[in-house]
Amino acid sequence: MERRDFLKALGAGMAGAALLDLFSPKDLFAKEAEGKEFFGVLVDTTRCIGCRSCEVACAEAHGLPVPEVGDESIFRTLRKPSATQWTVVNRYRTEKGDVFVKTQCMHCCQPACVAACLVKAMQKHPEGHVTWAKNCMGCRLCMFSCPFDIPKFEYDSPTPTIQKCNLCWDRYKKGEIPACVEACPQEALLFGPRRDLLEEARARIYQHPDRYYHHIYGEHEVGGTSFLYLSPVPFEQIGFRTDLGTKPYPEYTTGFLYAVPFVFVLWPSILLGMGMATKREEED
Amino acid sequence: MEKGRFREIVAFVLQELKPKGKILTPFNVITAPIIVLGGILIVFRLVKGLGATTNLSQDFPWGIWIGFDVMTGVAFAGGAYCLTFVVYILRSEKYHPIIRATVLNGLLAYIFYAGAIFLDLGRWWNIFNPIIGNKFGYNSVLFLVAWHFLLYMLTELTEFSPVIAEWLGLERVRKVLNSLTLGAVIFGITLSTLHQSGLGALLLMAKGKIHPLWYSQFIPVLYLVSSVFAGLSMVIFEGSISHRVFRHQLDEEHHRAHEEILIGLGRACAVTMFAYLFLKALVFVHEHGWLYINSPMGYWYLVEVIGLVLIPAVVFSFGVRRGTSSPSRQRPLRR
Repeated sequence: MERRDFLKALGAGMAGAALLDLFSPKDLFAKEAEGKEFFGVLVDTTRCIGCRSCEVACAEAHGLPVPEVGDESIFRTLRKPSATQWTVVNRYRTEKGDVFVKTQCMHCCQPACVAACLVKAMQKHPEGHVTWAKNCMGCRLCMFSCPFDIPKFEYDSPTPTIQKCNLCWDRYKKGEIPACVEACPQEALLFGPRRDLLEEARARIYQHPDRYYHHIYGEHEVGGTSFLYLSPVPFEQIGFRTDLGTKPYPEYTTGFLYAVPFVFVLWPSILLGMGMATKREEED
Repeated sequence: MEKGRFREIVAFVLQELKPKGKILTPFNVITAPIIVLGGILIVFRLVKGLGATTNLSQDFPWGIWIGFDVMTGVAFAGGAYCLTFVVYILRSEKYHPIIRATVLNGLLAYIFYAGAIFLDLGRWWNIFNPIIGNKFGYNSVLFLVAWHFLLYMLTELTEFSPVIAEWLGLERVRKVLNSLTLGAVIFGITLSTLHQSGLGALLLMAKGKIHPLWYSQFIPVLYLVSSVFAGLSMVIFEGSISHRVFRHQLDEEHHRAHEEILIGLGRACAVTMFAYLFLKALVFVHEHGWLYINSPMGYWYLVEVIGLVLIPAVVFSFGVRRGTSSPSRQRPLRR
């Protein structure tokens, strides 16, 4: 093949590939594969006693600094997950008494962080886990996009990583359940296929209609999440954002992404046409 | 190319690189310490990490560096695509004298912004991953912006390359490069349309974090339109400075041409700004902005829309009507 032909073919191939990819942004998010569905965790805050065993188990499972537990005074301030703590338990004073809420990555069904990542370092596995990989550039758009402010960045390191809950992806591959779920002495955490968890959550609400606020947080929020929550009180009273809507976050950018190939087809042809129209006879 | 010709060019470049005037000029006295300090800070940032040199936090992963310097800065570099459209597509001779300086400015601006992004990347050694395919995150708006950034730098280099060939006295090469200009211009305008709006599209998924007065699905359009008047304003700004610096090298006719160019650019800016205001008003009504306007953030919104769009638009219109770019000179240009 001559060099010229090669370059032409390369150019056409790249353009074609780029257009094809951009025409189908919807296919890029992991979907529940045939016969498979996202796994998740049901968090029943009416059962949690704030023992923080999950925090300890999480730290041990992922080689993070193990927190001291037993000191109740830690609940005086609200804590967020951090680069060294993937999950934290907070206490909320409500009309139905103290409610303890475990916070970690929600593992959205269509995660904003995955849609934001330009190197696919953030990945949604068909099993439901959202994980981070080392080909990350550290641009932090995942942090910027996440509706729950979950990905954390190691600002004090020259070789920083993104730190967040990965739903114990390594343990899952070995056939084990997440460390936090295994450690919970109250069975406040339940690991399983998301559909089963939703049924279980609904059953609990029906059986004890007085104990629960009739809403499953994560069933529809931002298009659904793998972590699902039950609460005795309305969710805004225990630190949840209830204004996020039910639209999956990646869909906020699909309109723009769909426009890209149109601009790529229309602009050059219009501009070329204009350029030819304004060309004067005496030129070359 | 024969050996002798190549050696000649190398000797010529070395000759050109030698300092031609005084080294201790006021400009150098001001910039030298800035460059030295910047160099020290860069080393510090690379050794100690972002936390040592920035005020970024888990709640604010992007700060002024990206939010203002890069995002606003790229809009200010939009003059190149606007003027190449006017000169090479519409073939307006009027703006031909400033096209080289504008394209060079655009090229330099993009190189600096690429450097700025590099320094902000926590894992900068992976900067080529989206280019080399480790991996292609083509569902990401940032993937599009990254590719367009790279391609647009190459496009602007192509647009500017005939000047380099001319400087080196390579007439045959210059002709070849010149023939690429129209293609490069068309490609460059397309890329600019998409990455100027794409920078705005980066904000679309930060829905819960942006005040409703600013959040709208039309952010990409607003970014694109503002890049037109921001870019042209920058051309006026830097054109005024270089005109002042090199004024003794110009004859009377070029002085007058320069004045007319500035007025024309000011007119384009004013028109685009009024169009932008109209778009802002549409979005304001569409998003029920009046619900938030009587609040501290609402006042900031008014500061932005009135102080940074309406007043500049009126100032530009005023200058255009008087027919002069200088506030002190009373002599109108158009008689």
